[in-house]
Amino acid sequence: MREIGLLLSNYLLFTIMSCLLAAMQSSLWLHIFGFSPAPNLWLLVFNYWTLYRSPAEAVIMSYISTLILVSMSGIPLQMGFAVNLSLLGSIYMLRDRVLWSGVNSYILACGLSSVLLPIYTFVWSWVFETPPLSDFHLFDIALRPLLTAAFALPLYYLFCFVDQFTQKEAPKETESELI
Amino acid sequence: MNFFNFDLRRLFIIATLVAIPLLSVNLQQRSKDKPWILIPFFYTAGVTQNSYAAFSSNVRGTTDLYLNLINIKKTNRELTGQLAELKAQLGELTELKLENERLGHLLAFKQKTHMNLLASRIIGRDLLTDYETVTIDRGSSHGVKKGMGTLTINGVVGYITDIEPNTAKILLITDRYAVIDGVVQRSRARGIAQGLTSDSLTLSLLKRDDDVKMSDIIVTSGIDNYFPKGFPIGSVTKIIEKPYGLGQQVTLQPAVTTSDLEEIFVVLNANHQNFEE
Repeated sequence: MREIGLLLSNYLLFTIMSCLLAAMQSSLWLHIFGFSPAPNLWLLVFNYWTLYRSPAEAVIMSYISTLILVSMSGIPLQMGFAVNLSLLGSIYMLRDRVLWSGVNSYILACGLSSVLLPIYTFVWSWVFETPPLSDFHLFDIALRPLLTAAFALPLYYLFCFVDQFTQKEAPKETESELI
Repeated sequence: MNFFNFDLRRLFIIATLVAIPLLSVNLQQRSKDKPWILIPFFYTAGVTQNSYAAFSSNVRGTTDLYLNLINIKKTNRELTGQLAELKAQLGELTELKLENERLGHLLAFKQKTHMNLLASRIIGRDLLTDYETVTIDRGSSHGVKKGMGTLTINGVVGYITDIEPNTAKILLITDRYAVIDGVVQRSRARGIAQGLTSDSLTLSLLKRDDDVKMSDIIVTSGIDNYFPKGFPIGSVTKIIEKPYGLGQQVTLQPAVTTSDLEEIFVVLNANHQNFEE
């Protein structure tokens, strides 16, 4: 019973953090930096779960992230699901092929998912939307991954702390190599 | 003892010692001018005194400066702190002044029009770059409904697409999904203004023979009463007439720069206001 309680509290805490990070990107960043490019903070929990949790948990978090994304964006729901599941697949491939120590692979995954996000959005837009996307924001595409990766570092340790706090197995810091 | 046998050197010294006071007294009696013999001494004395005075003054000055440095540093720290504080206050005051001016313009606009307007503040932006939505701090509890138009004093901003009790999401006019019924102000040709990119719109459904020229102002038609009639949407920046087809391709620059919005109005009821009258 206690284990279920801890597991649920872990899920709840990560969902709340995901909401807070998305709101921080949408609202707090706007008030401090205006409409300048913001880091994709909403991706950070999603990436963490994709890298360090079971596939089922990762899919659940991708759905939760999609719902949060749709609530703070104009993206249609089906587009949100398609983009996030594509990102999930890509990060999963990275997880299986690049075996770096915990924080490095996490930062890499966050940067990569920020690069892939506009690409998948563009591609799926041609499938789902009328009219589809017709332009890339290159400055945004260049800057957002860097900002996201910069924020990934401190948040990785926060997520690890939450995992330890709720007695969920935290990522192992193992040295490895690029395969 | 020989009378003439004396020491000449001793004699000279004695004579000199006797002569100097005598000469001195004699010279004083003859003239009030400074004796020439004293000039080099006076000069030397003056230079020496001056040098000593300057040296003393410098030493005292340096010592004072050194002693004052401690106070200067302290004062400097205090003044730097005060300056930073004043700069921050100035920044805040400038921000308040600008906000006051903006709100003053909005208030004047609201008082002049007979539309039922609700002032609101933008509190959030879209998480994705490719979608153009913002969130405002007014929702259903303030009378906001889906489809209501939003504008600033410069032109149309967009319309409400999602509502919560205290917030609402606005689809900006620059979003690809946004469409607004528009009219060319000069010729009354009708079309649909639709978002194209983050800083451009397109005016579609214009007929081939419709009269549109560069820099024409496109305004709202006001048919749906979500927007007042004749309110600016944008101005024409590009016209492409294809050699075949029924229509023409017109690109607009929106009247409002959506990337620097802060406060906007929600049109609760346009009351069929016509800005062209």
